[in-house]
Amino acid sequence: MNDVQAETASEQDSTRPPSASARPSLASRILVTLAESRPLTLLVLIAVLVIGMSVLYPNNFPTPSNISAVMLNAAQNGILVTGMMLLMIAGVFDLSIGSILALAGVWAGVVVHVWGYPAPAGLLVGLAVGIAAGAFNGFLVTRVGINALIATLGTLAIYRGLTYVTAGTGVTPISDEFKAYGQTVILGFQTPFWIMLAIVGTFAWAIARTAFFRQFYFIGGNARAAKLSGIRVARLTVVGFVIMGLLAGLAGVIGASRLNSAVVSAGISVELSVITAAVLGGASLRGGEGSVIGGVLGVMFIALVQNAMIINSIGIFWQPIVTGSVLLLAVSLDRFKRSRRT
Amino acid sequence: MTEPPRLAVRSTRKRFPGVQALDDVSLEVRPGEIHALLGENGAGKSTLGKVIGGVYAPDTGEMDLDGTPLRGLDEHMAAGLGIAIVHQEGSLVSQLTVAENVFAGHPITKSFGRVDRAEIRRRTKAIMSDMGVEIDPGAMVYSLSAAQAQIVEIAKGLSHDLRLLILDEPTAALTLTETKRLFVLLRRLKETGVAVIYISHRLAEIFELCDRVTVLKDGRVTGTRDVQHTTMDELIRLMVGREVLFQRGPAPTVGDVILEVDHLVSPPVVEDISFTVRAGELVCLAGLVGSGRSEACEAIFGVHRPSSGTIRLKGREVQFGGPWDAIAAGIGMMPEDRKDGGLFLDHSVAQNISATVLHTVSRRGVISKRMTEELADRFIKMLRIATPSPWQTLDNLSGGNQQKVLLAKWLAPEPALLIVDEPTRGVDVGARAEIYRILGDLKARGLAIVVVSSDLPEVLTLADRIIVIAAGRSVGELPGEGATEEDVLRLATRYTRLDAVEKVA
Repeated sequence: MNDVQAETASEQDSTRPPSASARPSLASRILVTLAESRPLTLLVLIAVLVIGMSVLYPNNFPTPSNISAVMLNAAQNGILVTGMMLLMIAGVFDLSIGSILALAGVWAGVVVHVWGYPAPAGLLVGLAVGIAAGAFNGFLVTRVGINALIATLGTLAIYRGLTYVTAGTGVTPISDEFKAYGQTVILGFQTPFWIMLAIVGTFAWAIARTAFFRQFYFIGGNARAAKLSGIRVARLTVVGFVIMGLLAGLAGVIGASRLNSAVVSAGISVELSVITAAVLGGASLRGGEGSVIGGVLGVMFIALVQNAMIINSIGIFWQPIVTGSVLLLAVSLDRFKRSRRT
Repeated sequence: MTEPPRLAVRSTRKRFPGVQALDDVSLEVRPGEIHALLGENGAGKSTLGKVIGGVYAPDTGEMDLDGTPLRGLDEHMAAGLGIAIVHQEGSLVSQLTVAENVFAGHPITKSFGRVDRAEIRRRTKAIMSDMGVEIDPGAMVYSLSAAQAQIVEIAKGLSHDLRLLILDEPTAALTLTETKRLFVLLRRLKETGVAVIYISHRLAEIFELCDRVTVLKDGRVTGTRDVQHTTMDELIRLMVGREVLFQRGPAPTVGDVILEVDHLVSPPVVEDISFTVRAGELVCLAGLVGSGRSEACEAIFGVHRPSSGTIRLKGREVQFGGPWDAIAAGIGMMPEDRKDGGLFLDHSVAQNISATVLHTVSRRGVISKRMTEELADRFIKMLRIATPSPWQTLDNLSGGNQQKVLLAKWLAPEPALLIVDEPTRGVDVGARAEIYRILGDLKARGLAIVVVSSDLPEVLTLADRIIVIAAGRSVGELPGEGATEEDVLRLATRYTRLDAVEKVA
């Protein structure tokens, strides 16, 4: 008698006390408060890292050139994590971003260097390639109905292959006009940092505040309920992939501009570090939670760890071990929080 | 009769939190008998089946199998004794072959514990041919139809020395011909002396197939009858008569026709449904579970596109590309599955209520926290939702309060027509009374309401008119005032697919 079971189950729910009755210890309360807001946790960790490094290495770490270098390194993943966060909020993700990045960079290079068009044309073509690649991913996931993991695993290979087919060895140099996009210095920071700041600022505000992007949280929270609430789940999911593709394309163009060279191997395995940063920043694979600020702090944290290890002259090979451990620690903390809630 | 009954159940009770599922139930099933268990949803039929099959342990009571007492019965022991249960939900492993499933509980092995595939295939083939069916023992279970899978479940029982077969709503997923074939198979089993317990709420099937019938109501046996010496009316009287807890409201003042559904067809379930709803009127769609009521509502709400038929809203024909179009046109739908289809449990009360009207709590596309809170506060007051704050996460609220949030979410867009699928599922009596009162208030304010409910007393309490749906068709209409459970059930069970079978035969 399924009805009775359903009823008894929900009756048990309804009699559940609204808050945990056992009194938590001080240690667990501190852990819970920290775990409650992932951006806050990251901010504390970043502050500890920055202060510690500044004290230990006053001549190497807090210098303008070092800070600028850290930010330049974080710029690409900061742009990418913005799009990834939006997708993960909606309960999907995109593994093909590294390939989109390379494909967009190579096409920008071909348009400017090989075909001789002015630099803005290269920029626009790069962005268009990103949009098209993202739209195709969205089409596969929503219209064909392939799971996002499999769909973007497939396009990861396809887009990388297209990159090789387009320009087997890359395009070098692109043009002096084109390299200005990524190499101009404003107020001590290079353009990629400022572009990232603009994108992160815009999307952080839009995703947190606008009605349009609020729908992504509903989709990730409960896709069926979202559909029955009149939210166009499929259409918005495509929009999410297109935004991701556009941002990956932009990152590709900027990267090519920074080096004045379109590299076919650009962005290999970048999807994993971006998803790592997003999860660190509070996203979950179930969807429905996360914020752009959290994702960007995740990127900053990973960049700082990397920088600290270089300055410490600890082998760079240790960096993934540290990042991975921090990720697992953060997610374990999350499990701890959930197990206390239910 | 000197021979002991195949199964004797005496004074069995089983309690789940909040409900006495079985209350002093006694039952006797004879060898070579097909014995029906009949009752409304929630009457206790499936629970009794599961107690006999060893799935649930009863709180008190005794059971004998062929005169031998059964103690500490569990599923494994039941299988060994020749008691097989075919569940509604199915218990086959889809990635294994038919033969492997049939012998899953007691594999025949060669040396080193290797399964003797050739032997189990041979024996499965023998069982299948005894049953007069042709299913390849080597076929993977996922490649089978629902009917074939069910036969494999029965074959699983026959792989032991089968004495008692329990079937729980076996025809729910079967087509006409498959149902007929199943009946032939069951009659053949019966001739070999197997006792069959046939759980169903389809009266026509019971008259077609069974020898005796035991009727359950609210966990109690209300009677056992020889099928030959009873009538549908008598069985219906035994099934119904639950206490009516709530008073009907005053007669409505109805306005213009809001919704007209004309010969709606939406495969695979909805075959031909027509009805109208006026402003200020509450129309109940009544019928058995699986009769196509919810599917019809989903088609009206644009979740599925109807394959034919017309839907008119305020006189204008409408075709919706999705629920968003239906909402824009002034329709709201509260789905039956509050947790899966209705609410965002990780989100707050205010966010849930505003989910359907994000644009009205926004200025130039930016959500206003203040406007969201005002909207939520309005409904928290109006529906008396017990929550410490509008920003409380929903999974901390009781079922009744969650249901009210769901209602608020659908009242926020101010629809002209509200479809409510199972308005009180999983809520306690107090919340139930409040939801009835709210629905009455909404009606008085001119809202047109469609309620889908499997709870007949609820239908009789709420409905101004009752549309009875059976096998995907609207088969009759009753006035809400003065209708009885018997009237509804008679219509709901008269037209089943078996009638069609008999006409063909």
